[in-house]
Amino acid sequence: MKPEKDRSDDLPQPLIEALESSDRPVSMITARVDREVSAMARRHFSLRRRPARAQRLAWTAVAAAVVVAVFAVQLQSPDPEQTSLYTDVDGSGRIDIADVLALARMQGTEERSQAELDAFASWIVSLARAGETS
Amino acid sequence: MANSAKWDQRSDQELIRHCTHGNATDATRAFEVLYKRHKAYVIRVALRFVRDHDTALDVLQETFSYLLRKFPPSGDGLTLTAQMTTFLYPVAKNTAITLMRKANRFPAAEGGCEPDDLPQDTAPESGDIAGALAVLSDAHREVILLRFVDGMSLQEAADALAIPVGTVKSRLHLAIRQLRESPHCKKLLFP
Repeated sequence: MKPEKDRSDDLPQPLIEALESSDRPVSMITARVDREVSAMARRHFSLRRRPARAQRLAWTAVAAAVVVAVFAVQLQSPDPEQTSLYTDVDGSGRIDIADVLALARMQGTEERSQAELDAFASWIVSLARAGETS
Repeated sequence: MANSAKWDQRSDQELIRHCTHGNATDATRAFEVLYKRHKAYVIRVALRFVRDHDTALDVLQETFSYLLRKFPPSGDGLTLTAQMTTFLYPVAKNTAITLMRKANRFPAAEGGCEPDDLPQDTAPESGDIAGALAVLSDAHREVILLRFVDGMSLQEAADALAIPVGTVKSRLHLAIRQLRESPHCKKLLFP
């Protein structure tokens, strides 16, 4: 890098050369410092984790968490068939055969198969037999 | 430290980026290249303020230790916006002054350096240039060296010294006038 020319730049060339030679690099044995600086740098930067590896680990953890969450939700969810059919359809506060009939009356407006209604009726009957109707 | 460091073609800015954002291996390697590239300059600067080579080596180590601390493990660190020498100069200078003060070998007052306090063994073949520089105050000698030996621009010298460009210009102007009028320089110019 050469200094730009301006009003202050008027030091005679021989003087500049003398200045440069007076400040020329000294030969000095720096092996000890070389080793220490190198060790210092290794120690310092070893605290830094590899960004790519850390990113991969983070994404793997997120994916694993999503899989576990989905699995857990599926395990805890009630059977959709049961929640949609086996409820207090007529609002009487009890689930009994009247609900099956109410559901049968709604058949024209909702898509309920005969098999589903039969299954609901059988379930109600089995509950009634066991004396567990709510 | 690998010898191949001296053949590394990357710029200082690139190396600093690797030190800031690179992984452990890249950052260490980049730092070693920076050290190899600039250690001679740091030693030269140190020897402008200290007398013995051992202290100059301490300055070298402390300067790069300071630089290393500019790259925290989080990855956010130094961004080089000027020449590396502009960054290293004040660090090396202040470290040298601190070490000399600790050893009670440095005058406390700014600009109080007597001619016989200057390093005596740095210019055995430079004729009367040491004598010519000795007539200058520390501040004037410093701008002359930054400008004509380190090749810094006025702005870079101002950045390195943390003073306004105008101050650099006026110091340079006075220093040049003193040098030209110095009998040592006349002897150099008209032997």
